Amino acid sequence: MSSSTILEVHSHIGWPRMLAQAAADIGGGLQRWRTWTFLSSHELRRQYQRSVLGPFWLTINMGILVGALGWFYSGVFGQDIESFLPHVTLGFMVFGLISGIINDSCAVFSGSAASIRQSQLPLSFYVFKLICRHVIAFAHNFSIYVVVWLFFPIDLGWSAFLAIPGLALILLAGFFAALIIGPLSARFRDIPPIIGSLMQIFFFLTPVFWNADALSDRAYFVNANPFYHYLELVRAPLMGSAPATLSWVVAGGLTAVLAVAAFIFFARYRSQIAYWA
Amino acid sequence: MSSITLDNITVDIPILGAGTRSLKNSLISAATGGTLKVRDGYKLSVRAVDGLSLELNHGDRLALIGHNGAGKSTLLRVMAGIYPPTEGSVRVEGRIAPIFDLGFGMDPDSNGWDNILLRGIALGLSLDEIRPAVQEIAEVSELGEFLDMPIRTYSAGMSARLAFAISTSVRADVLLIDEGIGAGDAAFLNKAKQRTNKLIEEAGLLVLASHSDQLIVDWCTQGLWLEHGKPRMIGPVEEVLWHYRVSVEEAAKASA
Repeated sequence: MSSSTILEVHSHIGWPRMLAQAAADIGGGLQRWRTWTFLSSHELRRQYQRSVLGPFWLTINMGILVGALGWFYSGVFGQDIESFLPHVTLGFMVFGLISGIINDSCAVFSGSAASIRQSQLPLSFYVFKLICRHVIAFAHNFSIYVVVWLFFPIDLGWSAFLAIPGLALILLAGFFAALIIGPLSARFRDIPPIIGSLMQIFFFLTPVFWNADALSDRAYFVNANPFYHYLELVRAPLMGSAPATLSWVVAGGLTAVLAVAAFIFFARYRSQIAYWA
Repeated sequence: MSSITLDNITVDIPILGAGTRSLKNSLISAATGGTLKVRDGYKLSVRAVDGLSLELNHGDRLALIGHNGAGKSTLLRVMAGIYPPTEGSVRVEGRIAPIFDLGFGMDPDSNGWDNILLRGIALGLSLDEIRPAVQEIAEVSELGEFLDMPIRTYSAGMSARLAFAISTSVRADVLLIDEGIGAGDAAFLNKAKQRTNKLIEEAGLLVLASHSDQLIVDWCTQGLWLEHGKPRMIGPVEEVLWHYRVSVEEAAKASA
């Protein structure tokens, strides 16, 4: 029994203490990785309980969507299906991951209000669990890409492994974004619908199911969209090319800024989350 | 050693109801220089605990006594570190186990085994701590083969038994319990009593919020009577309980 555990809470504390407690919260959340991996996979399994295919329904849904849209829009845009279908597949997979994390982060605290008021889990635990659930879903969806890769000529080199740091950047950025969006959405209940509609708009503005090359004179429009850069970091390597340096710079820089902002924000409002949720 | 020190604690719970929670009102009140703020009472809140100081040491068994809304549950959450106080400071030494809602964390669609893990996690245990205890919990629950079934198929008594078996498997220095724990059928009660007694004896410190006089007298030695978040009386549990009952009866007579 660890009787040396000491809980100390003071109502008015300065920044150094707030930042230290936020760091301890995130550290404590990370430490419980086995618990949140267990819970997130349990949540996913429960969603598809008693269905024969289980979470692979996620994969099938997306597979059908991607197959139908890939076939249809390659005709509409007059594009070659052999390169267009993999492009659309990866677009949906990766953008689905990004928008899924952002949309779900609205309810990361308000949806767990009962749990937050009952148990002493660090608040970051709920964010880790959210990210983990999306990683598992993404891993299921990845099998679609494998099928596409088997049937379509995608020339993969070593650069394909660049998708891994790209994915890591997406997850990091998602984690930090959720640390800001979560408390804000719990406090202001108008934020979730605003975010929902913004993500819908970005789904169309980002080259998910269309090609960025199609807008040669509007490249600035795509380049100004941060979601495009995150998407490219994973999509380009898996399409057989290295992502543009600009994408690394934008996504890396943005993630760093987000990390600092989220940490300060979380430190400042962490003590209020139990009341807001 | 376990101890709880509360120093001049005040807890204001913000009421983020209609009108105050929305972004629109905050933006408008910011833009209009706070005129709406006055009308809406922007910072509406309820004072759940009001200037409370308390010192508990190893071996203390404190009952929180008072009406609904007197601040008992809020105070337990402050001690658990879940609600940071608006004013004052809290210091708790020892491993804390908050047991607020016996069945919280359980999932009706999962089987008994999974629910042991789920409830254990909600109690703040790690998987490494729960897994070795699973067999013992299963035995205490006396559910046998039913543990392989989803718990939505259980009767109310059966799920209460399982929840009880898990919740009482925690070992902590500081035990914070809200409301009664003595659920279950008659045959189970004797075993339940032994188990709760063991749980309480092993904890260095107990704080119990309850409306059950029996439970309070059985388990606690000291009583703290809360009224509107303020301490009205603190002392030996029987004495505090007696004064509380007298005041409740007087209030009933006065209103009759």
